[in-house]
Amino acid sequence: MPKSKTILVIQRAILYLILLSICLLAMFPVLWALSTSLKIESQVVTFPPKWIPKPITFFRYVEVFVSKRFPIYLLNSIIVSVVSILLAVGTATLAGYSSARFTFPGKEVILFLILAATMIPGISIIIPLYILSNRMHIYDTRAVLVLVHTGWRIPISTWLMRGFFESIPSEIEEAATIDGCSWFQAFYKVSLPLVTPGLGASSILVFIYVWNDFLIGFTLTVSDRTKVATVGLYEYLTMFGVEWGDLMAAVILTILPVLLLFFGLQKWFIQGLTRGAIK
Amino acid sequence: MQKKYYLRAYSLMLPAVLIVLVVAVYPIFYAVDWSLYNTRYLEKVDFIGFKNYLDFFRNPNAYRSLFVSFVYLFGSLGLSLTCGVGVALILDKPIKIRGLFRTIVIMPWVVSQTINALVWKWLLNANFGAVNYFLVSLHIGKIDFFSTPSLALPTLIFMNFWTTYPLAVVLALAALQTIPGELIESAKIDGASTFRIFLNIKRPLIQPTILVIVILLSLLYWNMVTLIYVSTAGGPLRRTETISVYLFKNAFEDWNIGYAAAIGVVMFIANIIFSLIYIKLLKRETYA
Repeated sequence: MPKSKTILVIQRAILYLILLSICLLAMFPVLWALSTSLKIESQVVTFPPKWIPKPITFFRYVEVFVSKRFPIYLLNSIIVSVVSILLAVGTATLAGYSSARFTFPGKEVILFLILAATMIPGISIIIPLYILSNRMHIYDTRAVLVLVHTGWRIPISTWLMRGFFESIPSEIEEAATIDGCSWFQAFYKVSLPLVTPGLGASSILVFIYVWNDFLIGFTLTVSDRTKVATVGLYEYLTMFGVEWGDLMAAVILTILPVLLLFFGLQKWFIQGLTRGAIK
Repeated sequence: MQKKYYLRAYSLMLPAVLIVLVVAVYPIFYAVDWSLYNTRYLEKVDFIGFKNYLDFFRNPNAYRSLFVSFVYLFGSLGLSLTCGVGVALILDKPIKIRGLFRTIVIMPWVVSQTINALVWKWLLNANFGAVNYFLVSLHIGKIDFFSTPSLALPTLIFMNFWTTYPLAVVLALAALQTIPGELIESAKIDGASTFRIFLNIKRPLIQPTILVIVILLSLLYWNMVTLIYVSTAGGPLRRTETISVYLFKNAFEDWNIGYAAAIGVVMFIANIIFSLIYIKLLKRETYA
């Protein structure tokens, strides 16, 4: 029995209504934070709340930037993220390539080891890492953050890169070698450009994990010189008498890079997420 | 020639394997070692065998944390899975500006747990929060979500759902999009209802993906510290103290390093069990 036109229209309308409310739920917390960050103090601490800031003020952002500490935290987040991406994706690309192109004794064992490492939860090894970093005198440095992040992100990145290398035929490289390329040139000039989506997917996944991390930053650093943005935000919250407007300005500054990259590189991000989940 | 080939393969592998060994594999053995000792701050005092483990299984707070963890896990999972698959089914339909809708739906996934906690704390603020405005308009009155023992955990479950269910959407949508359109079309021609089509065609085809979602989210929820620690630090009255938060507080607030290391090993074993079930179920699904 064919449905009548009105029923179809109503069905459509309901569908869009559901979708719109889901989108509203997704955006509302962030919009609320944004709105708070643009308000003067008397409009922040008022009930019923004012939805739209009037007048709009940017002094909270100025305050966050002239405060001595938060810009350093943001800078630390940037440094730790960028170096971790380079190291994690770099080493994972080499390992992924090796496992996709070479056959060698012990390969299965190594791959199993890398896969097994993904089953070790961070919370179970954060204590050993705290003790070890103290013993090795690298506690409270950006270097230890980079090292731990790199190690924790290598397994999944290796798995991703391996998949991408396997999807390009090895004949292309063989042809390049016959034309006089060394194996390294064949890897570097022929295969690597072909796995750009893989490099992009791995990089954005590593970035989001590292940028958003709290556990490692909170446990392995203590001084203002090394603190990352998420830890700085947390400490702001636990301080006596939190200024919500200032805190929300810092929150917006901290999620801005993630949101921009997410909106810009969404295709890579989704590809990484789906490929990484189904091993 | 052969030697050179192997050398190449191994040296490409070496950096990645070395770093993983140092910061993931070695530390878990280190944790097992420390879990067998009585400790004072960062010193091992005496070897006590499995006493830390026995203490864990004799401690009422540990049992409470396990209970909270399971409520947190299954509560979040139930919400995320149903809503995730539901939203994926909607996004799989031919709707206008689907790309934009999808982007906005997925966005909460990239918001960090720290920021999630801070923003929701402000949204739910007892005095000036936006949510309390709606509650007052509905004549319910203001509620202090994080200080009310019976509400703190459900609130956290909802916050957790908000940020994690997009993973279910992404994976379920990817699976739904691999279903050939002709299959659905011919079922429609045969007069099957939308519900029947989901139950008898789509659901069996995305079953393996649903399993993947269940395991990935379960592990994520089981191991989660940040969201809970930043929002409530386990309170009020330990009502939101999951096993991971219990471990974290034992380690970095009370400095019971040996005991906390033992909890870490228990959690690790639970992770292995989850993962093994996952692999087993997945194999059965693919070869069934």
